[in-house]
Amino acid sequence: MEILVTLDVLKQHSDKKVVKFPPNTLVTKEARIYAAKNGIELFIGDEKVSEPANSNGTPSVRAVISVIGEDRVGIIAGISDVLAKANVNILDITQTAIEGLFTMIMVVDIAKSTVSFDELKNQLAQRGQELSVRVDAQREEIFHFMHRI
Amino acid sequence: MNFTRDEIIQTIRMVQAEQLDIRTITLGISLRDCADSSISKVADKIYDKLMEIGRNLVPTACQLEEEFGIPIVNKRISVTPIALVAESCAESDYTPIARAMDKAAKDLGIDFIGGFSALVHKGFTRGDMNLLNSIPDALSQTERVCASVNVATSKAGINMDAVLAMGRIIKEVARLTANQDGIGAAKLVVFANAPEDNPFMAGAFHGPGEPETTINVGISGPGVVNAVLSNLPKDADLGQVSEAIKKMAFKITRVGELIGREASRRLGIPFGIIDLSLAPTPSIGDSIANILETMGLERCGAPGTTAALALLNDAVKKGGAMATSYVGGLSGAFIPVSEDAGMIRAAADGALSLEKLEAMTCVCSVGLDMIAIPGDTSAETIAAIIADEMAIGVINKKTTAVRIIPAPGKKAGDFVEFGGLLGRAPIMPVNSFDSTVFVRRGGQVPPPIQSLTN
Repeated sequence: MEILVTLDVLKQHSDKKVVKFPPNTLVTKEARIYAAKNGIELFIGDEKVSEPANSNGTPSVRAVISVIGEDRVGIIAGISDVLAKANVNILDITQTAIEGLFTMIMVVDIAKSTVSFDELKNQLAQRGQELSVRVDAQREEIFHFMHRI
Repeated sequence: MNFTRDEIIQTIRMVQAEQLDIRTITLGISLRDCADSSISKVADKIYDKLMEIGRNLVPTACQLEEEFGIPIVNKRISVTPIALVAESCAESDYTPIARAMDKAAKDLGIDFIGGFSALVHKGFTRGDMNLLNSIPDALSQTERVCASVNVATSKAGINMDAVLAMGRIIKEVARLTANQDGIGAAKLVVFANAPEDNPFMAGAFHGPGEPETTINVGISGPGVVNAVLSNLPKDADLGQVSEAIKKMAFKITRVGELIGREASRRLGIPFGIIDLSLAPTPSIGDSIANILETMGLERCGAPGTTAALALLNDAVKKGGAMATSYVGGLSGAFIPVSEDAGMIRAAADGALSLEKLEAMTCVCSVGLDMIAIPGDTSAETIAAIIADEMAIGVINKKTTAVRIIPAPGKKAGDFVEFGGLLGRAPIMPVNSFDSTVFVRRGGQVPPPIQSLTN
């Protein structure tokens, strides 16, 4: 009987989808992370071992798009066009001039986006180049982590 | 919106204008299952294991950079001290293992791989001796391998035989890499109280008490701290200075925490620690020395420098400690001379001396770091410099280290260029009085009375 199920023990079962251990077995955090990553379900006796809590919470479906550059006609239209084609919904938009620079910040919902985040970033950067502004897209969590306890 | 516009703009400015970045994601890998009686088999096993476990590290880090918009400067691997892994080999030259590590690092796109290391604070085993003897060849024949040797702890005292041996090894490494100003010595650290989970090079290794694999994150951001201090009024008192640093340290550390947790989830590898450090880079503005100068010193190294650094280091820890669940590694401001534009300037101007740097290491991590000294400095003098630094660590129960480069053929006032993150350094003069008799006595400096804590 295994008293402690470590990563190593679990790797011997890596071809299985469901692994059962006798009651009172302890499963290390490492082993649980490995199981979650590889889609292995763990049981101790009849009880299912919970996945390790995702410490970041549920991955956010929102992103922050920032546009910095010289003000001109068509910036919002240009950026919104890219977003609309990718089926990205704009939740909030704010713009201002800081130290003479046009700054626009959009919060968008990427849950139903038809392109990957990478691809969206590329398209935005390309459109930004055409408009001579700098466009960045970042997942929302970074702001949440830095500015909220 | 969940955040104010100013918060979003602050984050963007920190990254784009003030060089906020993650210095390193370091993947710790245990190699204890790679032992064998033949060195070539050990080298093969190590290569295979590194390639298997490390293959997703660089792609995942690049993905995180893209999604969160935070640069991750280095991707690194640390491994079990090779002296432990290779001890059962019949051969005594461990260079083939270093070459296997170097090849794996190149094939994986890893910047540095640490752990060509031995822990000899109380004496040597056969594996330790063999490793120490192999360091000069290993470092001169590889590019990305880093070596470290722990020669002292607060519990064991200082192994002075090892200290003298390291003086000679450092000289030999520098000689073998003389055509690059002795760059080999920049990849070799001598430690007191080396931490097992340090993500920073050249001293990273995966300690014997660590799990099979782990993700450790080292943060950076002197530029951000400097910017916030520049915005304080000139008459702000030091309590306000400390408060401003704390707030900024919290934010910087949170970025590391987020990246560490995400990397852990995506790689399926447990998140170890955040190293609460301010690590400078040679680029302008990303400097610890500049922070001290912004606090009100004409040059780093002026009287008051140690006090200013102590304040900075303490505030970084206080702000950072709340931002992360597990703190580890070296955790403190770094003062590597060649990697910090402000330190370089201070040393070149004569404001900063070896002795002042030694005093500064009493109040921050980690030690005499990336200091170039004249190439004709004797092994005994280097050993004595190491002994001084080890004593500071042992008595104060902190990590201290020496990474010193006796640049072949150079004398005080010359410059050496290492390039990349290692930067460039002025050759600093060394006290010319002799310490040979002292360091040649050898033996073990007993642990101090402070170590009797039980």
